[in-house]
Amino acid sequence: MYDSLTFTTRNDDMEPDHIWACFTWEGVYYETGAILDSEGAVNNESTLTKCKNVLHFMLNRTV
Amino acid sequence: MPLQTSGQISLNEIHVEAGGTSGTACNINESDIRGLISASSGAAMDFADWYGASSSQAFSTIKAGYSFFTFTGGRGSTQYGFNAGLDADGSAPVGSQSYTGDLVVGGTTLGTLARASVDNVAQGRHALAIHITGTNSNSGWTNVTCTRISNSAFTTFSRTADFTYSYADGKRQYITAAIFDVAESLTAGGSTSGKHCKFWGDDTPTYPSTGTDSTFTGKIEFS
Repeated sequence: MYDSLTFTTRNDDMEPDHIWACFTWEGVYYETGAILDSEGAVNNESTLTKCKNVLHFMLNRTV
Repeated sequence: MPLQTSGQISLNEIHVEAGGTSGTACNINESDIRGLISASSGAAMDFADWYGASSSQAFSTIKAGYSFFTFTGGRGSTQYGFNAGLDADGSAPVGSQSYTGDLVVGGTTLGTLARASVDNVAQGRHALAIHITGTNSNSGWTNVTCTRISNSAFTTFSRTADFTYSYADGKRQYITAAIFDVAESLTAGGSTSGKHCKFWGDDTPTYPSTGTDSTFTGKIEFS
């Protein structure tokens, strides 16, 4: 599910240590916190999974 | 825009900041002008009192719309949930707020608050949703604190640590993850028929029921 989802990253404007994972799905733009490894680098696999989980939550919530 | 912080300041400038029309008659004891510095009627005031005063603010108080409902959970158990706040979805009324101007945090204009609601999103879990009108910009504030006015119960949420951001329909939309009720970040009153929103809405609920607060029960403030 959501196989075509890809994300980019950006550092937060106000808290530069915080990294957002950014993606667009069906015309809606999303940002959720990226998952970092022990060295502070973005863990791409875990972050992609998180993006898909977040998207699933957003699309399936009733409120 | 806040008034200047030094030098000459005119009554007309104060009047305009308070929402009046430039050049029209006014006096220093008018409630909207006094309101900029929270002065009571007839109080002694100095023009310097208005240095830095602003009609904009970073908070609003909320008369929540709410709906309390039950549903069947795992193993046939009765579960209790609610939607409560400003523009709460589900069957809840939309509620209202005290301040409908642009929220401003540290000189940065965020936009108007369109939604601040705590909603049932899963069995035993609720989420906080905040919508702000404006352009697509996930920035301008660091924390948001939601408070119940009557007992000062509050929770502070971090924009970066606690929210997922999305942009749709001209609104900056923030939502937390589904937070377990037992954490009591969003709910209070236990897990059964006393369960209610920690910040706003009826705190002595009847299940099921729907209504709107008669007074401003909650406050949401950005910093």
